[in-house]
Amino acid sequence: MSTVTQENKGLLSKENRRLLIELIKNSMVFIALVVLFMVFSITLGHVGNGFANPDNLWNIIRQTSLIAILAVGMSFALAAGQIDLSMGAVVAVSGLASALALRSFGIVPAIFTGLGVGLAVGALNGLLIAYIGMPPFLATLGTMIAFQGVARTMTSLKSIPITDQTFINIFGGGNLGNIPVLVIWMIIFLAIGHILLRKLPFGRKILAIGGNRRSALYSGINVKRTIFTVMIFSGLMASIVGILWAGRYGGGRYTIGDGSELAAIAASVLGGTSIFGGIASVLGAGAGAIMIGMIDSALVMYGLDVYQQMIVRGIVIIIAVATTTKRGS
Amino acid sequence: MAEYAIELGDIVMEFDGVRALDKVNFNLKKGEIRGLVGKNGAGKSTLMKVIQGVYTQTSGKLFFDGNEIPHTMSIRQREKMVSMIFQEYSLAEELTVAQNIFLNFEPTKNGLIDDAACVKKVKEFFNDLGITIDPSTKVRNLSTGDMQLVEIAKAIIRNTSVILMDEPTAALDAEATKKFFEFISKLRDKGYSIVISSHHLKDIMATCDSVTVIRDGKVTLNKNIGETSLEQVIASMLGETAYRHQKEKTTKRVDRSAPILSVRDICSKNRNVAVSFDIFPGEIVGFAGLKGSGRTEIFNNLFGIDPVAKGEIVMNGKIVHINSPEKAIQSGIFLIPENRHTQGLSLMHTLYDNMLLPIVSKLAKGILVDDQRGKTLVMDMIRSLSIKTPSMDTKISLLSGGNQQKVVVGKALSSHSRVMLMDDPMYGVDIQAKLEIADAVENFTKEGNAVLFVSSEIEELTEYCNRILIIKDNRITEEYEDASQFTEDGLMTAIQ
Repeated sequence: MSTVTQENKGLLSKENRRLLIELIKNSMVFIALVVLFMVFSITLGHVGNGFANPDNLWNIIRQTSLIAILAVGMSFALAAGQIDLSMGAVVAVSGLASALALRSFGIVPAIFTGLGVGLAVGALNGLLIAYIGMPPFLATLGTMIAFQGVARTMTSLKSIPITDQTFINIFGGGNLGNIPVLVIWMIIFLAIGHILLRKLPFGRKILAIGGNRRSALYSGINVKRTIFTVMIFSGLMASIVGILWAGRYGGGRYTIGDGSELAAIAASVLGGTSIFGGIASVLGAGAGAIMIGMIDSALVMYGLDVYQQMIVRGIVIIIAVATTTKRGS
Repeated sequence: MAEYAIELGDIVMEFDGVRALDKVNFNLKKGEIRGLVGKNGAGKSTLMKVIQGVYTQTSGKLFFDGNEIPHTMSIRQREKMVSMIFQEYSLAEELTVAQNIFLNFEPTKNGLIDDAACVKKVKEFFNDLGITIDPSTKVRNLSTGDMQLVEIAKAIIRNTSVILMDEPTAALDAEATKKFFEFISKLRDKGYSIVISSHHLKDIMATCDSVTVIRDGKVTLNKNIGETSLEQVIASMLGETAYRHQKEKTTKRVDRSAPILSVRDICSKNRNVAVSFDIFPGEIVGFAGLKGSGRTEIFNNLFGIDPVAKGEIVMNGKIVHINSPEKAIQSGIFLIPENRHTQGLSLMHTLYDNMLLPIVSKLAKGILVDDQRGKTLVMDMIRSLSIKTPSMDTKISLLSGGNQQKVVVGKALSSHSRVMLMDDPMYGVDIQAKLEIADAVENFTKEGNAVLFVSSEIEELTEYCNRILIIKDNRITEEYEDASQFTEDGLMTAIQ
């Protein structure tokens, strides 16, 4: 007498109620996004053209799209119970590297150079973590510092401007119709990340490893190889952001991406990803990034200065995480 | 001065009306080692905890050194008179032996901890007892056996003279166990009084001065070692109604023409004794052995956790090289691990995700996971294993132990394994689920597959197995094929 159907009678049986609560919990970031949007639209309706005017909204999404893409990579690392602190440094190095390659060799080599940086740093992180057995926090802290140094020495602190209009149009600067191309990139990578995590064996294995590494191993999963691949994936996402960032601001510079790994972690966690692994949501991470962008914009419109904004942002993250962490335990 | 270190007078312990201890009596002489033996759940640990003060007895009297101990006396106060050694270790691995022993009451000099004095005191103490451990090594560099000695030193260095040891040898291999028993006889020579529970009955008989056997909370034997025998002790543990299993399973026709799994002289990094055996289709073969006898270690060899360094594993006539669980599962070998919470399942995830994890790659249609097929598969498993769950999307942590274990078995079945290694699969599983798992295993073998079975309960081996291999000191010492040999007392004697 298997009881799968037995206890499910009635629309609001215990199990259905539990699933509903689960659903609401998992949609928390989207609900919060809508609520905040309404609050800001009403309270800031009279400031300038109003919070809800399309220009402002596009601007917010454009600004947060890079963090959102970064958060896709970070969500994968976190899902597997890892972390990638080197993402910001990879953004800078790959932005500079692709700008340099663009100047000398053209668009296609520029793309491959940028991606090559992410691949290489990701592989290094993966090697240190999966095969040498270093704790991910320390391994990527090390590569973060080293590649921040690389970003500063490779052009002696000079920025490398990008003048190639095609490159700028494709990556970051342009529009497709009314839609900023960055937003399209964001949607593409959110979709890819979502499918990869939810619908491909790779994603299921990552979550299984993050949930219980031992049981994943005992289920026949090649844990080391999977973690190695995850770190390459987060490195690649960071280098994609590096290329887009360079495209958006018309050049590479060692400061781009500085600290963005922390914003990506915040966006991921706001979106419902557990910092301890096993639970992750790519779409949630995207929503988390947009939420942070919306709050930033609103704070400016409320007239807070930069430092006050930092304080509020910190408080918001703490509150958001405090209300959602129970999910993991 | 009283004659006895501890006297128990009709100790009764009830939990919610269930009698765990029923009028237990015994006296521990000063300078005596008393063995406390019984099957799992007989009440050994409960009795020790009553003496230690973790539990307060429902009725009965307790004397230390001739003085009655009031119910109200706390563990802290009793600590000055008795020390309890657990099988779990309480040492800080990153501290040295001496630092661990003096943790929380370090001798000081000018307000600073006097490490030199600690080391010196510990050294003297160790020399006295013939322990050769260096007091300034970090605990994590010690063997499990040495850690156990440090644990004891830590407990008694503050001059308690009575030591309670609950299964101190459970995690030790045969050699360390022998060393351990030598050590406690030295403690006796120094005047310590000891109560020790252990499954290593031979060592108990060789070392202890007296033995108390408990069965179902009652004392069934209380004798000096010289007045009894191993056979009598085992008989008292099992009782007159010892379950003698005559089963039709053993007469089940097993096709012995070609083994499904053939193991030839395998040894590995962690197990240096070569082992060989054959398993035939349709068989359930039991490994009977004490913890630390090497039974789990052989499983680890076959499953690629501790890969084989020498020798061959042959599956269905083909030599397979198993260097990881991934390879083992591909070769058709699946392990139901000892601990389902830490090894078998991801508790935060759903039944569905757990069940399909081993085959998630095979379940892909194109590049995407075919969840439609996955649902059908999981539904079939839920039905055939009678898993009680509200839905397949229920978190594993919300299921009962028995149903969780069925999910682990389901993982093995869904990955089309041919040989299932089951390491104590019935542990903490309710009787109903036990029967259902046994049915599933029976069906599995009927399809020409085979099972290797390890259990901490001898009676489970006699109940489920067609053939039993006795494992001692990493070796297969005997093979029981005849159902008439499948007696609890016979097996219990054989594994000692």
